[in-house]
Amino acid sequence: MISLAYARNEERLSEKEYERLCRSLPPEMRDDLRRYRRWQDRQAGLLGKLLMNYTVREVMGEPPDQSTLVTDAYRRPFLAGRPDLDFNISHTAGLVVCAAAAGMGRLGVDVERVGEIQLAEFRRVFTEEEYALLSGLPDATATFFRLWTRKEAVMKADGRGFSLDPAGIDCLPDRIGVDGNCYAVRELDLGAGYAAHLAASDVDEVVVGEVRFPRHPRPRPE
Amino acid sequence: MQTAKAKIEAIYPLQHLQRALLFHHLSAPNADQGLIQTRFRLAGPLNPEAFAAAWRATLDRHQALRASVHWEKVSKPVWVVHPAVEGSINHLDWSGLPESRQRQHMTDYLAEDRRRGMDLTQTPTSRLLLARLGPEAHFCCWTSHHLLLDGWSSGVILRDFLAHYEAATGGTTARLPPIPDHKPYFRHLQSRDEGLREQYWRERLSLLDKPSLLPAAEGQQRSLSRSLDPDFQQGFVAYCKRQQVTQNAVLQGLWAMLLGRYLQTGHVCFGISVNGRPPEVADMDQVAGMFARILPKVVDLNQANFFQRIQEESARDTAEQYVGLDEIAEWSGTDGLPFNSLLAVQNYPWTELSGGGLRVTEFAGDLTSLYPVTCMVLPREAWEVTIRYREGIAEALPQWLLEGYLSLISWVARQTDQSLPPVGELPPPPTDPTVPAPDDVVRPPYAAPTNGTQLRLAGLWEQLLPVDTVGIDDNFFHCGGTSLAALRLFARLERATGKNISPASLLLHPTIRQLARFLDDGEAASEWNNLVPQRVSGNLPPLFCFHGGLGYVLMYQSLTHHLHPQRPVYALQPNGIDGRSELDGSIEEMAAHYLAEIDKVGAPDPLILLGYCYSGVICVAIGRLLVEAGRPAPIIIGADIDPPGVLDQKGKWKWRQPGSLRWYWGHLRLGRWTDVGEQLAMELLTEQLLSENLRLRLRARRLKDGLVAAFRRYRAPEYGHPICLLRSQELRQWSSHSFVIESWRRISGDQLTIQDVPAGHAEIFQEPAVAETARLIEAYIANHSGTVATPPGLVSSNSTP
Repeated sequence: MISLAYARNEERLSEKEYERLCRSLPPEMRDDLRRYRRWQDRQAGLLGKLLMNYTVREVMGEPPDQSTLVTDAYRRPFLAGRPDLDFNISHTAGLVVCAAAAGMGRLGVDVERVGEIQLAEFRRVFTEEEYALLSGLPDATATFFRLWTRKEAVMKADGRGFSLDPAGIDCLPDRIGVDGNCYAVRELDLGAGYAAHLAASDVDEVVVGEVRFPRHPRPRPE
Repeated sequence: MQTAKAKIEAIYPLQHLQRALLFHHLSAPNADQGLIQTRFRLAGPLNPEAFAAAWRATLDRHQALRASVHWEKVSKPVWVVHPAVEGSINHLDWSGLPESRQRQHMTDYLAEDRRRGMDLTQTPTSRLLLARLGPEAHFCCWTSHHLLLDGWSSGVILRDFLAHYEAATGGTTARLPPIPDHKPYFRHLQSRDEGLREQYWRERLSLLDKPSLLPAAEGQQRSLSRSLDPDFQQGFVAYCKRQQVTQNAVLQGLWAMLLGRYLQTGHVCFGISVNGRPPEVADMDQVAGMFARILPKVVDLNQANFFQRIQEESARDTAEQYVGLDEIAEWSGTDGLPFNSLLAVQNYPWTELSGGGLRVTEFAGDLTSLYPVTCMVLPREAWEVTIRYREGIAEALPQWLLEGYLSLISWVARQTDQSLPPVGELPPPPTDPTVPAPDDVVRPPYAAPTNGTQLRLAGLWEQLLPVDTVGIDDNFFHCGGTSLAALRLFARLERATGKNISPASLLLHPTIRQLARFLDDGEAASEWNNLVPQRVSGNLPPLFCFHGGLGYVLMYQSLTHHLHPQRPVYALQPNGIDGRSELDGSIEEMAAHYLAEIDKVGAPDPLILLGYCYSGVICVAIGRLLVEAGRPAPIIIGADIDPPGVLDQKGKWKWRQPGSLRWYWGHLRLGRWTDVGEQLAMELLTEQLLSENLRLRLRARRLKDGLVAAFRRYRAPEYGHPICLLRSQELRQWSSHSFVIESWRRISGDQLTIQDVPAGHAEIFQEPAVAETARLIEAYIANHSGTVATPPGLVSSNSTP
């Protein structure tokens, strides 16, 4: 079973709320967040970590020890000492998403806010066939984002991310192969204006939930 | 026979500020900001035995000198007074050395002493260096910790020490009046009504509609200082007298005005350091210890009787001064302290310290401040104003504060009545990209691109990232960079350079500096010396602005804001401004040099050049180089530009090569002692021997002299292409006016356009006139480049002299 949770990141949390939520993070992580120049990114970083707590707890029954979070040679984060467990976080303007699962290898998730693109700028990331498909469309935007989030989810599930050549991964078929590994992909509906995909060895059982922050909003004085 | 003495004389709790200092002491033992090095020289014959005896007696007299600090295995951190302490005096002899070596030894000692830090758990918690410089000259450094002793204490201790020394040289013991220990002080603290205190401070703090926060940043402390012209001191004192307030009140009021201008608010708050000794407890001002406190100073900028009110409020503040900053933070209701800057006016009542034939000279102490910005005023013979700031803060801010504060002080000093300074006329505060957003973002200090690759990347980043400005040390992902933005970045980079690079390289090289190095294959790309980018992005042809006669290009910052938002702007500063490279010897060399730098940017012809007073001739020299190379003549715009030969037109003043005999003679006759002294220092001393302040001043002078010399040597040949002169109101008044116009008309081959700027010479690039200057520049460019569309609303207006 894969647990997947997402949170909206459209409004800025109050400073108090932000500080309160930050308290569950190790101090180094809090310091890292302060390096983000825009509140949107800082808050996305915080929400990503909180969603990771949430999904890991869903899977394991207990939250992870955030202080064991490390990154591998491809800068992919993982929890040291928990080789059976994998999680993956993605964020885009206004939305943060995290997926976690145990005992099924690595998984990848990618979400993008659909916006204007110039297809030519992405010539290098698609196979010939993919690019032909996209450039033949009267409006390629929606398809571009669906295809791209498929691709990035698979690259993240593989673990090597951008160290892979995206143009070498054919994302048109149902199941997508990368160097002999085969990934199933599932499209996620996270609301209008977003494209999102989840990739893993098996995506049949996915529990999707929205988490709202602050968890228990206090009533505001009129 | 000696009776067994008690091991401990007293135990006292640490107060709020002491606890803050303890925290810093523990977190940064080798860069302990609480360590204070009080330095002075002793003139006169010194008796070593009497010196040691006097030091022992001084230690005996003051509890704080016999104290250690303990925080482990106690419920609250405390300081403990020991009945007796062995003072340690470190004797060194530097008397055989030349003065330069002695100075080097002092510098080395101070640095090493600071690195050594201080173990506060072991007595003695201070140490004394006595270095012999000559038969009747000694250098002393007394190292102590702010946790136990405040600034006031150093005066108390030195005075007591000299009294003991005087007695000891006469073979007697000094009979100093007894002083209280710390108990009555703590009793006094407890006797205060806490409810009243809270009510008072809550009321004061409620005046603030927002906290008065300057940009905060991390990093080492840096400082900028300047002395006030001695002529102003008398005027300042007279102004205070007319206002019937203390100098302190006026200094506080002016600082408040400056902060208000920066923060755009009517009520401001800043920290002030106060002596902290309760006047109600007799003789407390004779006691050494850590009583100093930081109090919030809340000022209403619109109140009537401005300075008098500040003084009255200070009296109330002092009455309720026993308040912890933790309490202030809580009562302010702003989630933290409502201020983060500190004003420290150091006026100790001791002007002359001497005793037993010894006289203290060159007394200098340290000020400990844990605040991002601290303004220190030393109102002694030559007033010195210093702004201390964390290195993460862009220099433009402390510079603005320093200059603004000095100009307010000099303004009141020039008045003959009680009027308040026109704060609105200060130059606008810097809106520098390096200043982080108010919500405590940790950002590397802003660094501008230094080569073509970095510049190209900076331009792309600014297009792709949702932030305004990026420095070359900013991390792509911290600026809102996403994977899609990374893909776009490399697609655009490939289009521009033909290089195909994996977006994964951004993970390993997430800053412009790192990525540029990676792209350049680790080869050092040639760095610019002269080009200072003001704005790198935009689709209009860039404007290149040249330094004035002092070498600086800072004035072009506000111009950039008013030009078309799509117009990139680069300023050019001379070699030599960094003190490392040599200044180009002639205008022709400068022109060739600058043109080579400009061509690295890859701007389309015709180039657009802007000069200011001095640099008109540089623009013309570049124009000649371009025409000779078969390129189109540049668009040249000059604000009050000086034609060659103008120096001979300016009054009776005769120019002499600085350092020549005739120069010395002329300056001595005019009584310009400072200039003469600096010139001598410049010729005789090496830079290492000079103080930071003097070094910078001399560097600036050397640069200016070099520029003026190059200007004088320049003989302008005919140029014969259009020039636009932006003329200030002042230029029209100058006696050289018709010479200036005629010269440029001749040089341009009768293709001179004159545009009048409604401002004085110095204000052309300052608010508010700069808006009009920018408009005139854009209009002239639009009319003369042909291909560029006129931005809406811009009409050119020509006028003739």
